[in-house]
Amino acid sequence: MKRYIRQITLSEIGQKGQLKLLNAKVLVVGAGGLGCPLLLYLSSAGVGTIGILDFDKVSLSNIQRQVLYKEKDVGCLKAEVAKSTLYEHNSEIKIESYPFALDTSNALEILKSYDIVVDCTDNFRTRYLINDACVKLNKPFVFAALYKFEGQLSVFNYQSGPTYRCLFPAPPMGGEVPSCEEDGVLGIVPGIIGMYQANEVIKLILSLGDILTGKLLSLNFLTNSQQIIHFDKNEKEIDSIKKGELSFIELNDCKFNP
Amino acid sequence: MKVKLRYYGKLVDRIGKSDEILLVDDITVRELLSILEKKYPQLKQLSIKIAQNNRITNIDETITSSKIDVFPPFSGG
Repeated sequence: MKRYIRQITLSEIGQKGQLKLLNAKVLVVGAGGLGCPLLLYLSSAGVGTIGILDFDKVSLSNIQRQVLYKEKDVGCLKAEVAKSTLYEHNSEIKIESYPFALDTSNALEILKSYDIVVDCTDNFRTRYLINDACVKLNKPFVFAALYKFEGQLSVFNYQSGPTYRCLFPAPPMGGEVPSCEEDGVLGIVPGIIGMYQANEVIKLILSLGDILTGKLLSLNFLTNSQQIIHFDKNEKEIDSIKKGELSFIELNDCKFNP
Repeated sequence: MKVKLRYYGKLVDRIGKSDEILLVDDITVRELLSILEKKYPQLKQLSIKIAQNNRITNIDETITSSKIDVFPPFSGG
């Protein structure tokens, strides 16, 4: 516990809060621009069990923003490199790696052993799958996504609250899939947004402050403006997820890149 | 009534501006979306959401606020 003394000193956390963190199980889907800073801080804070799911390998163009990876890691599996880097920071926690893609056959099985799912993916296909699996398993998921210098954050399915489909019921059509590859990204932006996301995860574990449920936080780092937009639960959408089979959304020419 | 539309994310690039003022009279969200799609055919495929008074609107709601936020889902990570 000594390593956590600075945060235990916070009256909002204390020994009791630290035990909650150590007992928490968090799955992070996507160990890229958002996932790397988030993983670093969640593991350092002593989140006791962390799962890292990413099928991808490190490339040189990742390192500009995916701060867990070094030049020598190029070509290695992100989930494995992230796991060993995090162990160097904190060897007292449990870290599981899943170096493959999340799909309809493995999503429920993997997600069910975690308390919170964090969506650090870069595509709609995996995001809808995470949403639907979380609805079926009754788990909250902490969402973030970015476009250039802007970010969106929310906590979905928290205590049966609104889900991603309540906000965006219609999957986007093909060609509507911006990615860091196509549009470019400054590393700092996913860095900041990943920190917001990590903060929401800690708040969820500790039941601290206002949870971003039913709210979309919109951030712009060029103007430094922030806005919270409220949205309602859509029971019809949620019911059809619960009744239906877990499946991928249909996207024309969407690159599958979790 | 004068309505100031604020665009987010990819919309800013697609439209070429981050905000604009439209003159509209007693219209619904559905009508606003069709005005925008006519004006900017390049928006047609996007899953645009409209918010007023910091709340997501439903499609048959009337536009009453003079400040409207128009945004797509983001996907980058």
